Amino acid sequence: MFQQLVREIDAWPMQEGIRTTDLTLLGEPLRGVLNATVREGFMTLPHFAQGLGLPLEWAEKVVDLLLEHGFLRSSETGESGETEYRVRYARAGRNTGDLWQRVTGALDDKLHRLELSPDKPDKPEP
Amino acid sequence: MPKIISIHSFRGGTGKSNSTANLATLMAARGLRVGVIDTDIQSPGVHVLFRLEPDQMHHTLNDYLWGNCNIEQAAHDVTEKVGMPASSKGRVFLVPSSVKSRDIVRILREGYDMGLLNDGFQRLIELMKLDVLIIDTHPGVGEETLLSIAMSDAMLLILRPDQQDFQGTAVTVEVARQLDIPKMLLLVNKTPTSYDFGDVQKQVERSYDCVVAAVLPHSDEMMTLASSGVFVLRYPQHAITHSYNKVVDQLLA
Repeated sequence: MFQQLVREIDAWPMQEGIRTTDLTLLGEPLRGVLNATVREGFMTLPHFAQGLGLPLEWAEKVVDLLLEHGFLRSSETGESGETEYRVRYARAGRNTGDLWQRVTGALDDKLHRLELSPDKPDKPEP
Repeated sequence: MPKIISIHSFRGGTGKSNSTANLATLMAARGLRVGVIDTDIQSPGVHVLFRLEPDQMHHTLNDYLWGNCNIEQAAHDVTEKVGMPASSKGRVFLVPSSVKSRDIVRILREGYDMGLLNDGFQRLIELMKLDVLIIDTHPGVGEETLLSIAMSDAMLLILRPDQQDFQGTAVTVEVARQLDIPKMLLLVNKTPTSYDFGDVQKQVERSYDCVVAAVLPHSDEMMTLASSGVFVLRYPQHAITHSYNKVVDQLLA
């Protein structure tokens, strides 16, 4: 199981956060554990070990890999004294940002002017 | 234990925002403190049902995502605006998305930190002492909607009895199951009154292997109301209101 998890995580690039769609591409038990991390807000190492079905020291290696590959971020020590691990999210809308750049430079100028325009009603006057 | 509920549909026009407003209001009428977040940043609209005008929005979800305010500062108490009494124990707090074109354009161009969205939900529940947080999502499968689903304890997936909705709903059901959503309910909305509703329910349940919380009829009263208010308050004895109440029972169970 440990080797399987290592292979699965290593197949992912080093990235600065993941997208929710990435979760749907993972296999079990990794997907289940990360889904639970999203839903609960954070997980501690013992929870990871339980979810992955691994001894604590092996689970720690998996968590380190997940940190390295940008799936997780470690958080401040919680009330229980354990380090909390949270899912690290990629910035939303990055593809849309590329799209804006790809469409046309002329559009960028108009949009920039729109952003700078003073407050005015968006609805037409009756 | 506070509940997070996502209201979603694959396609637009299914009645998602209307359902959000009606369900939130019914929950508040039961004495619950309900938060509603409009995460439909590209086409915000649920604020209209809650009668919150754009010039009354002192802060929006956009402001929070840009770091201009805390999430609770973007929460507007719309309980009385919507028509509930001031003395109501239950409250509805709305975090609207901005309807200013430049704000929408800016967030589309720049994107935002999804971790902030996640943190915001939790903080709002804690600080506003919410019993329920309802997330009104953008239609279709997108990163933000998937995050909402991934974070939620329950999802209400709305569809019309329409082939495009049927196909798209199948996609969403599959994705939601990949994200281990603990509870998923379907709501078939805008159903022609000539249909056998029992039959519709059975067929949809069989097709998706998912419970149908309610089959709602197409309603002239709803169309005439035209999102100018919350249906369940205007028509408290209507069959649709009774159906929405049953949906609330199932979501909160």
